[in-house]
Amino acid sequence: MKTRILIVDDHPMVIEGIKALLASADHVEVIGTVSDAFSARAFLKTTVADVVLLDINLPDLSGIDLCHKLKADFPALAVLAMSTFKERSYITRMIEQGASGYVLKSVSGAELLEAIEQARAGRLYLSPEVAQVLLSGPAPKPIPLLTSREKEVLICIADGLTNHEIADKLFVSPLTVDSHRKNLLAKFGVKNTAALVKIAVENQLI
Amino acid sequence: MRRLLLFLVLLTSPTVLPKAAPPNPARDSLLTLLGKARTDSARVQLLLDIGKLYYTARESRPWIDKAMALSQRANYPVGIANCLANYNYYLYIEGKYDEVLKNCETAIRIVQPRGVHKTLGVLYNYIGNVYNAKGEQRTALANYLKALNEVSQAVVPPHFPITIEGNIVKLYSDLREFDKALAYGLRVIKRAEKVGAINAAGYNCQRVGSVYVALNQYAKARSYFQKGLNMARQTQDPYLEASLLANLADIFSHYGDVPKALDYYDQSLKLARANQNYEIEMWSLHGLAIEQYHKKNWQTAYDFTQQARQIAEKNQYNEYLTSLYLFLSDIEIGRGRLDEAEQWRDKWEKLRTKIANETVLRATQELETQYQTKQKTAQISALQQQQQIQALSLRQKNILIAGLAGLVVLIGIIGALYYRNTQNKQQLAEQENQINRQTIKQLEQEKQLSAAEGILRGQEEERSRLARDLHDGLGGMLSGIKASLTAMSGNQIIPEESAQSFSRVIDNLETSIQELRRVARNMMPEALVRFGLRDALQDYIDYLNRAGGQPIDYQTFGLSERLPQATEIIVFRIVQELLNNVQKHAGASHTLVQLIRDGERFHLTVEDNGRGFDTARLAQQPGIGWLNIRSRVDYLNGTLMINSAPDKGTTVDIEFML
Repeated sequence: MKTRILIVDDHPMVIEGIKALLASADHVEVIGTVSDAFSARAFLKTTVADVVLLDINLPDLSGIDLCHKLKADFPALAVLAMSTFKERSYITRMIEQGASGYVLKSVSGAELLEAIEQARAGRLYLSPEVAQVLLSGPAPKPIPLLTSREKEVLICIADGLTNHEIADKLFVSPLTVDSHRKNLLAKFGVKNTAALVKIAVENQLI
Repeated sequence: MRRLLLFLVLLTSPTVLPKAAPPNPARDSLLTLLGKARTDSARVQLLLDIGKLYYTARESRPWIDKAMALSQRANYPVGIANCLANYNYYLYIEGKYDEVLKNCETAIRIVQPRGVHKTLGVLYNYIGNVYNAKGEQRTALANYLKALNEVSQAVVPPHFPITIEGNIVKLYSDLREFDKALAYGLRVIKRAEKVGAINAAGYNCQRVGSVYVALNQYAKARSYFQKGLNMARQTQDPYLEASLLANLADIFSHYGDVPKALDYYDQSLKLARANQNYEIEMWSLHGLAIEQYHKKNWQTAYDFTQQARQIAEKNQYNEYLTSLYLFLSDIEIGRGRLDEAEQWRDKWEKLRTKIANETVLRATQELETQYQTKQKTAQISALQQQQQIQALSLRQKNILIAGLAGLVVLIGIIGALYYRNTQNKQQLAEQENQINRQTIKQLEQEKQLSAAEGILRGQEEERSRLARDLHDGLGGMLSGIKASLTAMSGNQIIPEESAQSFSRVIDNLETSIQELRRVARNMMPEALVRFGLRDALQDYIDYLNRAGGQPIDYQTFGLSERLPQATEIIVFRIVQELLNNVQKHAGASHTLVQLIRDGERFHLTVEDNGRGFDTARLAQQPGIGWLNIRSRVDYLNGTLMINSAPDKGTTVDIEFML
C-alpha cells in the first residue's frame, strides 16, 4: 500500500517543490496539502494519513505545538518535522514532542524518501546535518569553568582574606569582589564560603 | 486691584548684619593691636573682630575658634557668648537654624544676668531672623523688639539698630499693622540718613512707600519711592533701583499716566534683566502687560504675561502665579477666546486650591505658634516693664481674638506671609534652585532615555519582522525552487555539459540560501524570541563552533526562566558584538561565555585568551562596536568592566540588575 502523505506548509512554492521531489516515487502518494495547523487537524479528522510532513513555522500555531496535538490525537501518525532551522533548540523540542524525524528543507528527493521510509517504520530519522548539530554540542562539564577573575578571587577567599583585603590585593573595588564571590556561590550551588572552598579544593581548582 | 495686594510683598531686606571692608590692611592693624593687648578679654574681642573681616566661614572660623579657646581657658564667659554669637552668622547662612537657636539660648543664659546689652541685642536679632526665615512672624517680631530694646541700652555701631528696625518695619507691614510700620519706618529713615547709611535708608523708603500705597496715600508713596530711588542710584544698588522703578511705574499706572508708567516699567525691566532679578523682571512684565490690557492690545498683553508666567513657574512664585493665570484668563476673554480663558481659569483654580491647602496648614501652625508666643511674651512683660512689649502682647491678644473671629481674613494674610516666606527662603537658599534644575535635567534625560527605548524597541521589532520574512519567506521559497529544479533535472534527459552547469546552478542556489539564513539569523534569531536567551545563545555558539575557528565554551547558571524579552534581545546583541570582536581581533584559541542569574542580579562574562589590547587607548578611541556595547549596557543601567593587556587575553564583565 502506498504511504499516504499530508504536507503542511504555508508556502505554496515549498509544497510544489516537495510534490515534485516525491513525484517520481511510486510507493508514496501525496493525499493532501494544507497551509495551517487548523486545516491540518480538520483534514486528519476526516482522512487517514500515514506520514505528515510538518513545517515548524506555521502562521497560527507553532509546529512544535501542533506536533504535540497531532501525536495526542493520532498516536499512529508519523510526524516528520521540516524546517529551514537547524538550531539545536528547535530540533530537541520537536523530538520531545514526538516527531519521528527532522529534515531540512534543503534535502534531496532521495533523502526525503528515506526519511519517510524510516518514519513509517517507526524509527527516528535525522538529516545528517541535523544529527551533526545534536552531536557536536559541547559535552556537559562536570564542574563549571572558572573565569580568570573568579579564579583569583577564589584563591584569595581560600587564603582567608576579607572582601576589602581581596579588593586591595587585586586592585578592584570591593563591590566587584562581592560580585565575583556571589557568582562563585551561584555557580557551584553552595550557600556559604566554606562549602565553596571545600568544593574548590576537592576538584583541585586552586 | 489684586495687584496691590501683592504689592506689599515685593519687599526685600538684608536681614543680617552687613560685613565690613576688605581684610588685609584692617587685619594687619588688628593683628598689631593683638600683639599689644594686655587683657584676655581685649584679645578675645580683637580675634573676633579679625574674624568678622572675612566673608567666608572657612576663613573666619579659625579666628572665632581661637577666640573661643582663649575665652574658655581664661574663664571669660562673656567671651564665650560673643563667640557663639559670631558662629551664628555662618550657621544662619548655612540654614542651620536649630543650631543658631541653641547657641543663642546658651549665650543668653550667660550674658543676661550680666546685663551685656550689646551681645543680647545681637542674639535676639539672630533669633528674630531665624523665626522670620521659618515664617513665624510674630515670634520674630517679638525678638526683634527685644533686640532693639537691648541695643538702645548699649553703645553699638549705628547700622545695627537700623537693621533691626528695618526688619521690624517689614514684619509690621507683613502683618498689616500699618501705623506701627509707618512709625518705625519713618524713624529708621531719619536715623539712617543721619548716620549716612544711605542704602539702608533707601530700602526703608521703599517699605514706607509700600505702606502708604496700602493706605491709599499715593502722593506720599510716590515721594518716598522717589527718595528711595535717588538713594539707590547714589549707592549704586541696581536691585533696589529696579524694584523702585517698578514701584513708581505702578503709581503712574494708578494715576492713569500711561506713557510714564510704560517708561518706568521698561527701565525697571531692562535693569532687572541685566542683573538677573527675576522677581522684578516678572513684576515689570506684568505691569507692562496690564497697561497693554487697558489699551486693548490683547496680543502684546498676552505675550508679556506669558513671559512673566514662565519666570513665575520656573522660580515657583506660586502666589504670584495664580494672579498671572487669572490675568491670562481675562486677556483671553478680552480677545473672545473663551475656551482658552476657561483653561487658564482652571489652572488658576487648581493652583489656588493647592496654595489654600498649604496655607490652612500654615494657619494652623501659625495659630499654634501665636498661642505659645502669647504665653512667652506675657512672661516677659511681667519681667520687663517695656511699653512696646506690653503693647505687643495686648495687641497679640486682640489680634488673636480678631483672628479667631475672622479666620478667612487671617488666611488671606497668611497667604501673603507664606509667599513672603517662600521668597525669603529662596533668597537664602539659591541652591534649591540648582537642585530643581538638576531634577529637570534628570527628568529630561529620563525622557530621552524612554525615547531611546522607543527607538531601540522599534529597531528590534523591525529586525524581527525582516528576519522572519527573509528566513521563512524568501529562504523557504528558494528551498522550494531548489527542490523543484532538482526534481526537474532528474526527470529530464540533459546533455552532459548542461547537466554540469545545471548542478552548479543548484549549488549556487544552495549557497545563497545558506547566506540568506545566516544574515537573517544574525538579525534576529527565531530561537531568541521563541525559546529565550539561553537556548538562542547555545544555538548561536553552536553555529560559530561548527563554522570553524576556535572553540567557544558556554555555560549558564540560573537561566531556567526567561527574562523580559527586551532584556534578552539586548544581552544577545551584546554577546554577539563581543564574540564578533573576539573573532575579528583577538586571534584566541579559546573563549568562554558565561551567564549567571543570581536573584535580581545578572552577570555576563566573555573571556578569551587572545592578544588583548591596551585599555587606555580604548578609553580614548572606542570603535563603533564598543560604543554599541557601552550604550546597551547603559540602557540596562549596568556596569561594564574590561580587563585586558597586550598578550594577556581579554575579559569583559557586565553586570546589571533585573
